[in-house]
Amino acid sequence: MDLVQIGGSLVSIVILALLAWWLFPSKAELTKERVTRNVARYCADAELNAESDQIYLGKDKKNAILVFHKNRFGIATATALGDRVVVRHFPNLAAVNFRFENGKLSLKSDDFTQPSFIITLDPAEISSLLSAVNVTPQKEANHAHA
Amino acid sequence: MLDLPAPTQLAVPAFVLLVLAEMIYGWKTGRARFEGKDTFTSLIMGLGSTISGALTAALSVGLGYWVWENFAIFDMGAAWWVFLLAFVFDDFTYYWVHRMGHRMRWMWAAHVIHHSSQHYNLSTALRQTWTGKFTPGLLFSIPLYVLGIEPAIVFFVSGINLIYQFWIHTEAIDKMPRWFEYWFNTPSHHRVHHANNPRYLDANYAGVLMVWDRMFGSFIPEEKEEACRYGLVTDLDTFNPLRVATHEWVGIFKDLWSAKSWKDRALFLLAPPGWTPDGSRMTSDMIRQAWLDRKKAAKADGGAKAEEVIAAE
Repeated sequence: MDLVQIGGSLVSIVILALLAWWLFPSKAELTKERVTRNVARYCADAELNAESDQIYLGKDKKNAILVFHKNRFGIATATALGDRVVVRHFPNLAAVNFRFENGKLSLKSDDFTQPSFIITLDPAEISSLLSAVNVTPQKEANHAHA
Repeated sequence: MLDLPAPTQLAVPAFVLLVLAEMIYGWKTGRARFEGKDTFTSLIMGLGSTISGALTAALSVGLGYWVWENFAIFDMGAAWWVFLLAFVFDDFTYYWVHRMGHRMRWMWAAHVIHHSSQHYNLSTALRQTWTGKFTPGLLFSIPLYVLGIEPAIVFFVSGINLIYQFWIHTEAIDKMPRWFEYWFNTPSHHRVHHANNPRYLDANYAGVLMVWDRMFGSFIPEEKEEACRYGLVTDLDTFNPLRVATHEWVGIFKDLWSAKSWKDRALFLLAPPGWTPDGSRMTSDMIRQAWLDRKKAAKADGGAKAEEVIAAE
C-alpha cells in the first residue's frame, strides 16, 4: 500500500462519513424517558423505580445521571454518542471520583473506554445530586463516601 | 514463492462503492442506518488495519514459509483443487480462530474492534483490528502448511473468505433462500453474531460455510420476535480510533499488573472476556445465565411474556 492509496482512502473515508452525517442526522438529545429506557437495558438486574429514581439531565441534553431509588443500586450515567446511548453503572460509588468545577460535575473512573463524563447542571441540581449520592459539595475534587 | 494478488486490496474500490450504495438505499428506504462519526471510525479502523497488516505481514509470511519449507508432509502444488481444498480448510481454521477470538481474552483484545460499533452496515465490515498478528490466532494456520499447502495459497483464499464476509454486514437483506441460509453464512446469521442480546451471545462464528457452527453447536438462528441489538455488552463511550484499537489491551495490562498470582495472570489472558478471580465482572456465559434466570423468574411469577428487547437508541 503506497501513499497515493492511503491518501485516496482518506479522501473516500471523509466523503463517506460526511455523506452519512448529512443523510442520517442523529437525534442526539437525551430525554428522561430515553435515559430510563437505556438504563433498564444495560442494568437488567437493577430495579428501576420511575417514581423515586432521580434523573439529572445535563443542560446540553447529552449526558445524564440516574440515581437509583435510595441509592441501593448506586448510579448510572447515560451519554448520547452519535445517535445511540452509552450507559455505565456504578453500583459502588467508591470507584468514582466526583469533581465539581465551574458549574460542571465530572465523573472519573478507571474506565479507558469512557474518557470523560462531564455534566452541566443548575447549582440546585448539583447540590441535590451530591446529596443523593452522599458526596460533600465542594469545588475541589471529592471522593464519594460509599 | 507463488506470486498471487491480495484480493482484499483489489476489492477496496468495490467496498467503497457498495458502502455508498447501501447508504443511499438506506436513506431512500430506511432499511439501513448510518451515523457520521461511527462510519468515519469504522472506515479509519479499516484503513489502519490494512496499514498494520502490511507492516506486520513479515510475521505471518515468515512463520508460514518456515513451517511449510521445513515441516510439510506433502507437496500439494498449486492445482485448482488445492485452492479449493485450501479454501475449505482455511474456512474451518477461520471458524476456530473466530471462536477463540470470542472465548479467549487475548484474542478478543484484537477482535473486539470489529464488534465495537452499535451500528450494523457495510462500513462495520471494514471496522477491523490493528493488532491481530499479536495473538495466538497466527498459529491456527500451521496445520495447513504442515499438510503441504503453500502459504501464498492460504493467504489468497483467506482474502477471498474476507471478501465474502463483507456483504453479510447489512440489515438491508432480510433472509436469503432457505437452501442458501442452510449452507452459507448470510446477513441474518451474521446479525446474530454481532448482536449483544443475551440470547444471541457467542454464536455463528462461521466465515463462509455455516456447517461448522451446525457441527460444533454454536449455531443460533435469528428470531423474528427478538430484533438484534448491536455492539458490545458494555459499549465504548468514544469514537477515538486509538482508544477503539487498544482499549481491551489496556484492560488486560491493568489486570495483569494488579493480579495477585501467576495463575490469575494466565487466566486474564486465556479465560473468556469478563473473567475475574472474584467473579466481579460477567462473562458471556454468566450474562446468558442471568438472562435465563430472569426469564424463569418471570415465568414463575405468572408473566410468561418474553423480556422486552430494548434498543440502544
